[in-house]
Amino acid sequence: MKNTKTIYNLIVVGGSNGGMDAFMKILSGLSPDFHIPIAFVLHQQRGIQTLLPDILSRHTNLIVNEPLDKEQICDGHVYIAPSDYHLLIEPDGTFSYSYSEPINFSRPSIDILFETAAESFGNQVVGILLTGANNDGAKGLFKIQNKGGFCIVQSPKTARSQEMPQSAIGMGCDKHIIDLDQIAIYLNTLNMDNILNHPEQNG
Amino acid sequence: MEISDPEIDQLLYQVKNRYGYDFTNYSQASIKRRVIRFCEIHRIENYFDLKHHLINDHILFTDFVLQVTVNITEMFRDPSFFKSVKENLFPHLATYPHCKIWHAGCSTGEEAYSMAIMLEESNLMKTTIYATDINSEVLMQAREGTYSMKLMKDYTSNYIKSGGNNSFSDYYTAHYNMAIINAGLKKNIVFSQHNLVSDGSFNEFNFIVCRNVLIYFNKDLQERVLNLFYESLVPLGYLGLGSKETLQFSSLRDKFEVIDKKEKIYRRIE
Ligand SMILES: C[S@@+](CC[C@H](N)C(=O)[O-])C[C@H]1O[C@@H](n2cnc3c(N)ncnc32)[C@H](O)[C@@H]1O
Repeated sequence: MKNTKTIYNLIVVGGSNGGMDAFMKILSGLSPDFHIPIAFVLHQQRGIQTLLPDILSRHTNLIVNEPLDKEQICDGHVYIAPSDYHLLIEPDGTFSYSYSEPINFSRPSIDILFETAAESFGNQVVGILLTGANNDGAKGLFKIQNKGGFCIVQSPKTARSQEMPQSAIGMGCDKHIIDLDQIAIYLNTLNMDNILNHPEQNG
Repeated sequence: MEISDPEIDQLLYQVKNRYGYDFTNYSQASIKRRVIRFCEIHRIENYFDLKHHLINDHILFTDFVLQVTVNITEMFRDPSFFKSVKENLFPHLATYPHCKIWHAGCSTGEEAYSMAIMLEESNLMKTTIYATDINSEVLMQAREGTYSMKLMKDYTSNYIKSGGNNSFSDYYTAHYNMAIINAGLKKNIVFSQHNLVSDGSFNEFNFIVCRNVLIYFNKDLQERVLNLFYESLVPLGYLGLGSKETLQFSSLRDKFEVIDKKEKIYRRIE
């Protein structure tokens, strides 16, 4: 089970086919005082991503935005990766971008977000891999697990496309395979024991 | 392959001492991935081999510079940027008897040629473009100005979206599967090597274009480079950054006004 002593300071989420709906569902289920920063990579056609922050804002009170290069990760934000750049997490708690080659035919790549989150935030990271029709993200989620982070995989039976969650489970990220409508409930209980003295973000 | 953060730091430090190229202030997460990718390409399997080969093999190092920097670019990348430049900057630039534009981090030249096309169509012929990069390899390709014919379809569409007035195919000659940029466009472009980390100002410019280069630098290095740009701009000179880049987090932001927030175009105040 989860180690209640760890304070989770960053949630990274990835999905492709069906990922948008799944992510909206999660956002709508978060409790009003939820504040752990969330970064989301969705595979999309080039150009479409610019609309995502607007659409997602309607489903949450959190601030939804596309981060700028070297923007500091802050509580109460949902950060959406724009199209056509990889989004990375730097050790000083900022975002950076790269226009390097696509990974798993994807730019942004979920693996890159997850791996850099794991390297920069270690066991303070929660990784969530949602529905999707390819295997981007599985390697990254595995890395989060290896660094002591908390990994959630959307249960394939509740996923529009099973390949993405299935790949992660295949790699051994199988401790928390959770139905879509339960994921928000899970997130709401993160940091519960510490909620009264939530420390300064130390990323 | 795994390399720890201290190992990366040590490697970059030794590279700096050995070759004078300083990557120590590049974005950490990003440069680390590039170094690991470089190892995979060259089948280098551990940190010690990497360090050993890199320090002793000059030719390998040339490729290191090429691989750890990201050189991917296009013609008229982000058409809305070029459109804004044409609409908001050109009318002002046209009032100067002679204009100088600096493309810093020009890679293989596509961005500079795109600008040259726009200038020609707006009759801003008395303009010199200085296009620089850290990398001699990409500059060679830039001078050649020969690109794959396969890309021309996308570039044509970018050109039209940027507000191009003519037919894009007028600007190159097809030769087998290559497109050769017209010599006329090269006339006003000077390609040369310049390292933003260590080299200083070399001229005064009316417009500096530095797109998708700062994302690879950490905040300290960004600050240095932005200072360099500030010093290299004439009063009321313009600065154009990449779509994810911003002056917002820099101490220099008060010395610039925002011309186009979305396209990240700024103007030096006074
Ligand atoms: C992704 S390309 C940008 C090309 C073009 N400006 C664009 O936006 O498409 C980044 C370029 O920055 C160059 N670069 C990296 N570090 C540099 C430095 N210290 N000084 C000058 N150029 C540098 C790289 O060699 C590469 O060609």
